[in-house]
Amino acid sequence: MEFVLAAIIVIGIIAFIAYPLFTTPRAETAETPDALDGLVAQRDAAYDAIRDLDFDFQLGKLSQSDYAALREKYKTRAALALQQIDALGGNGAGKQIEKQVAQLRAAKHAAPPADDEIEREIAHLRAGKGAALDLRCRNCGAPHRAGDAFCAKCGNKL
Amino acid sequence: MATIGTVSIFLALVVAVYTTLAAAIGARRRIPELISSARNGILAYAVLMTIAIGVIVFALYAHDFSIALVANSTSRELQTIYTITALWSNQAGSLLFWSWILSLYSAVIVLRKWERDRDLMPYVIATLMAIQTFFAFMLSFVSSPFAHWWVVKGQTVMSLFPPAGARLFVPSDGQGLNPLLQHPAMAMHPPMLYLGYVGFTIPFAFAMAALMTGRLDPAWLRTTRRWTIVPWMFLSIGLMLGGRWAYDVLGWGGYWGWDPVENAAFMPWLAGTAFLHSVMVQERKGMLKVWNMGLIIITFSLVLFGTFLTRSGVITSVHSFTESDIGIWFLTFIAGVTLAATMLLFTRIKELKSERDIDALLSREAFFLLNNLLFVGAAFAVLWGTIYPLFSELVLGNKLTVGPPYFNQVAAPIFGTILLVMAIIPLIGWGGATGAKLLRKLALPFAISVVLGAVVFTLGVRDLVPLTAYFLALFVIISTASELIQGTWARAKNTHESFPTAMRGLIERNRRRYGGYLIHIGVAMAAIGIVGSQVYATDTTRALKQGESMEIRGYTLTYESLSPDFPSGEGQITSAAVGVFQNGKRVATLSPSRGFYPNSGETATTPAIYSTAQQDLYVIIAGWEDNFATVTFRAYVNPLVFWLWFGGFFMVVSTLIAAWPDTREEARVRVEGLAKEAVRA
Repeated sequence: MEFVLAAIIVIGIIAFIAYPLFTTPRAETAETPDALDGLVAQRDAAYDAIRDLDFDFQLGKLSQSDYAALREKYKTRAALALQQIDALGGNGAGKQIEKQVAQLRAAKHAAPPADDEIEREIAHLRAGKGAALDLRCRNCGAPHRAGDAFCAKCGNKL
Repeated sequence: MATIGTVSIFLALVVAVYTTLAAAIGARRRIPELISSARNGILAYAVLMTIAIGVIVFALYAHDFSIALVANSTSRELQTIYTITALWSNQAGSLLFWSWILSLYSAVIVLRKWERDRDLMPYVIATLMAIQTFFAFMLSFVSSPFAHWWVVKGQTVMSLFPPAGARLFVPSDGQGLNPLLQHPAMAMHPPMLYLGYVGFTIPFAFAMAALMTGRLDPAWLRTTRRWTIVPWMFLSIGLMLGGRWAYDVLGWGGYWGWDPVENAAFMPWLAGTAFLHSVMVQERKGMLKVWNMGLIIITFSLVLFGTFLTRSGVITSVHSFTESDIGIWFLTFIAGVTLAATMLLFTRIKELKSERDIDALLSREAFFLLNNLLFVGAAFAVLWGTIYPLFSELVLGNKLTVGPPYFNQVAAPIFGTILLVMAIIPLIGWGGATGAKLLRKLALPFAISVVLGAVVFTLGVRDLVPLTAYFLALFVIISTASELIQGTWARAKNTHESFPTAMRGLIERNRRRYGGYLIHIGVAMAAIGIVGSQVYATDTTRALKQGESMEIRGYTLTYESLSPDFPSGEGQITSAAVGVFQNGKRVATLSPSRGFYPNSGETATTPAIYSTAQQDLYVIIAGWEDNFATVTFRAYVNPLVFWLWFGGFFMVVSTLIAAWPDTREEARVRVEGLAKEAVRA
């Protein structure tokens, strides 16, 4: 009796493991662009940073100048990430995301005011999608592209 | 029935080997069918381990003494609850338990949606199953839970398969369970510890997968966030239960002795705490990447080392190490895993460079780095003290013992500094704070803490070390509470909510940060409990005739009556009734007891405790004479120890708050998933 049970277990397990080898795989093993994950993580990190910055400033942990400078930095970063996400997906993806976000927002409770504001400011920056963002070298003032590490004109580290 | 168990385990070994190879090859050669098959392999392994555990638990319940594990750890008189939990009281059972828990965790990981970690998952599976291969191998050939006792040539031998000419030996009753383990805290302590230990395998597997694939962005950190804090919580619970058990059962008035087995669980907790904090810096600022990889490797190695230390008995003597079956295997496995992981880390080290440097010393990032150094320093100090006896026996030929004085001396300054960091960090921002701003924020909490410290001084605490420790713990509580209150007030101003609603909203919007702050408050409370009970405990011993009394710290204890030799489970319990009086009024009647367990010949001393927030009165029977005419009692007064247990409880509840699923986070994950679909379309 025991051996019968044991045999059933052995056969069952082997069948379960071998089954996928004879069938077509499910979609989840298809590939996706690697870059998207990294960009999404960057965008989220920038959003988190802005949110925390606003709160920390309100609690008096930062000076006005530090706060303004850091906020600009993170906003630019968020906008850059969003630009690159859009670039990966073509025009359709950006609008799709915006639509779904709006739907999710409407479904759940209304998001606190700070979030909407951040979204609006960043949307402003993104609006200049055709034109490049106004990025200039701190040393010589020459314009450079997003993601450049060194200035093409004077060689300064960006 | 044991046959089914044995077959399950052997098949599990085969499945583990197959799954490791299938996952690895399927990922390298991009064969989706193999990866799917490997996914089923992980689930199959979980099923097989569940069958094996089911068989052994049934055998325990049914008192099937033909199985050596059952005969060695239980007896017919043992209460049912301890009969079942005896599973993890022995070597083979606890290895099976470890592997089973890992198989369940692995199954959960595999059953969730894969989209976000598509590239990593095959390598995660391969890593997990490579580890399982080791455990399945041990359970099959080195330490089988289904071994039997055989009689051959007049000697009894324990093994899975019969030696030549042997016949099966089935004892009529088992040897019973160590009486010290017959306590609810001890029944739950190994499961909690293992849920913690084993849980850390998951972030380790993801880290290895990230290194193997070169996908080093923080995605793996976000995925494993919950898989880090939940095991951390279980490990904390396990440590607390172990301490409480020692307090309730061992009868020496304390809860922590820096015993090798205690340290074995504490070291991974220290490294795991560092990892838990350090990953926040990588997620937010792209720094400390090499640190994070190093920390998870250290944590997992310490988990394995802790399991090895506890199960192999190596520290009692280096010679008992070779008598134990699993010692050499385990040590080789630990060395192999650590070496392989470190080598893998070095091949990717250039890609793990920080995205930016630490700009300011007075920044959150810098303090997190300091935090890493302190916790890792503590872990290594404890490690060194734990293995020093082994080291001295091997190298110097002379076994030197390392006791509480070393550990306390090393731990005190490190943990004191950690308390200071915990007090400052809520008030410091990312990127840098100006010194002036920080001092202004710290001024009020500091001032309040100094005032409270002065109160503590007037209450009689004059020694510098405990006074500083109390001050630092209070500083943590005041500073963290001030941050919570200010945050709530700011939010209430924005949203016009009431104060309680605003606080709830504040915590829900940033669970990790504010849940973390609540955990810190719990830690500070526990620190207060530890300092009070370690530094200011007193005890007194008196021999009393019935009706006589003794005094300690304002309590009068009167020996009132005795009931000898009451049978309970496997033991015979003798307990005394002791009346406790304060200012002439009875406040409690305590029943300290002693139990004699004929199966093991051991005597267990069980204390009776009268606990208030201010102190514990802890009474044991130290001995008796003249047929109980005179009974010797020892009474301890442990100040503030209640705060250790309450602080631990507070920590656990706060961890649940911190780890609770966040609806906004879930929404964000959905958006990401949608973005991916939109991109592919």
